[in-house]
Amino acid sequence: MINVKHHTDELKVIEEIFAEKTAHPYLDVYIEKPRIDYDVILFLLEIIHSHQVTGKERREQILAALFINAAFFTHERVCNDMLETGERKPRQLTVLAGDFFSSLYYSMLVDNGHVEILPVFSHSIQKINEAKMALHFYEGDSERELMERLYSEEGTLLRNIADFYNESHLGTLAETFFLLKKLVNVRHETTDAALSTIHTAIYTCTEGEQADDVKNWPPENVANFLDRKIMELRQTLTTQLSSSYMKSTALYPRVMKWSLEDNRLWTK
Amino acid sequence: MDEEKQPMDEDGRDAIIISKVDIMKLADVYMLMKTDMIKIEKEIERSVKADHPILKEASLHLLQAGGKRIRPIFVMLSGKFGDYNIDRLKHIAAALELIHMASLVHDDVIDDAELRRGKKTIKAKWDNRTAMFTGDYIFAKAVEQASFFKDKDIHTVLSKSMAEICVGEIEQIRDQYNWDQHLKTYLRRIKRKTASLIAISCQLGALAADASRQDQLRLFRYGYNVGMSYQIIDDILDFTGTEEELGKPAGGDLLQGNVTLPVLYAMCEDESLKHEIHQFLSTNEREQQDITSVLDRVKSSGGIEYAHSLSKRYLQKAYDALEMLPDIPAKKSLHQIAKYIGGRNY
Repeated sequence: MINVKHHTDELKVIEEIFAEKTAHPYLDVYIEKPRIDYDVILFLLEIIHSHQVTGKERREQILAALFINAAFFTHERVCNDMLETGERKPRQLTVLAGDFFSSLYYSMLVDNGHVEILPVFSHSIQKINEAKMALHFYEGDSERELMERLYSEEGTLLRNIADFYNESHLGTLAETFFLLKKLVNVRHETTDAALSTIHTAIYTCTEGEQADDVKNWPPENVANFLDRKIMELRQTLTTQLSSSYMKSTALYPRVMKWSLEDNRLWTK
Repeated sequence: MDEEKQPMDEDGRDAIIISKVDIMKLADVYMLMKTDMIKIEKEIERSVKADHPILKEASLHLLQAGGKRIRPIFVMLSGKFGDYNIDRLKHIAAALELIHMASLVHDDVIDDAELRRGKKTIKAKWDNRTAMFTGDYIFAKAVEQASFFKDKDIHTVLSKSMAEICVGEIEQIRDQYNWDQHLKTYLRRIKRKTASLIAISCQLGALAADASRQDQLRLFRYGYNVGMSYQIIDDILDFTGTEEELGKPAGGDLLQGNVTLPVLYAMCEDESLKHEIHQFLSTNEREQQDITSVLDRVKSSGGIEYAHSLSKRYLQKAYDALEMLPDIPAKKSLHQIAKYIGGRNY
């Protein structure tokens, strides 16, 4: 089991390196700073901690995963709406910032000799983009297909890293956990802005029509769908957490809490 | 001299003017590499075949639109200076071409471009999000291709270059409409934007073929200098080319606020030009005659001649870098490509 004090120190170091590497004086003026999902760190610490990797190596792989998430988060903000000439610069820089964060994962892994795990990361990015494309062009055919794509978009990276380390049970748990977390956040958003790929796909599935923006999110059918799926995912999570092994992990209290109530974005 | 105008690489920004003799020599280079180029094409095509039908169509869309594949050519020719094995080299060539392709897909979102290589861009045919997912997918495919190699040096070179291209493009946007920038700023920007990927195409071809360290360095220098010369000529042509030659209106860089070498020199020679450009760009209702007047002032300032002389200096450095390489046919081909790239419109 992971030492909690060491854990907190490690989070701090990762946070500092992440901030330093993703900083760019010009981008910082125009682009929202990428956020760290601390649950990703928590899961990866658990997945990697019992394996033959040094603390430094583990940290580098975690940072690489965070850079990928930062790239996805940033590129998700590139919408389809038309812009006036004066509004183009933030969009242009959003595209480039995502590419920049993406290049950081590659250099973080190769500069520090993680060539073996590199295909796990690049393959995951491909799969996630396949899922994003499927969600983007989702026409409401099947709820099962929608859920498969959502699982894939939210959990592929951690699932594949867990498989690489022969920790598939943690990969399965991560898939459930991150999808639950995503759906809870989508359920509680009250945005009037342009919809993300996930919002649009869920809307299409439940409302039976496509839309780029929706007033008063979430509409009733969407809310009912999300409530149902959140409940199902909580039940799944509870089952997955029931083994004595899971109860002995540092993840257990955090994940268990999510199986009972909404925590939304976790900041320390 | 009998001249013919033709795009060198169908990037939209890469139109050039070259002599018929140079085109024929370049065609010979391509002909010599044809069999191996087909292998690379097949590798790229195999690589981008996604499961999702639209992702697959979008990825193949750009590939099938063609392109001169100048980066794979550099990889192959540089590989000839070592233990040439196309079944190894094709992975590095494919990786570099995929990086180039992915950046074009995202560039079209950045520039809000409708056409590329005479076809609708991915963002125009589908939408911005499709272009973003496709570009990200192709970037990941490039890394997958590079993963064929376990050699850390190959990955380090590639990853640095990927970061450098992004930073170069970010700086290009930062430096737009900055009329007080230094020559060094311009040179650093074109290095990152263009020369870097050409330089590492040569370096990685040699590295993947286990050529000597010295030859790797010579080939890197060659590629870097060819790339610099190439971009400077490209920037000149934005002032001297016609809309028909360029595939876009002349002065396009200036209209977007991009400060290139001819205008940088012209403003240095004549401070009042800075004021005129500033006024011209801040007016919403621009007349064609206004841009023509600005272009004429740049052309008569000596800026074009200065840029040509700097381009020539880089070209000479490229030839010098080739000098110490072993005398094999690939050396002659590299010489011909440099001449083709740099020797334009004199």
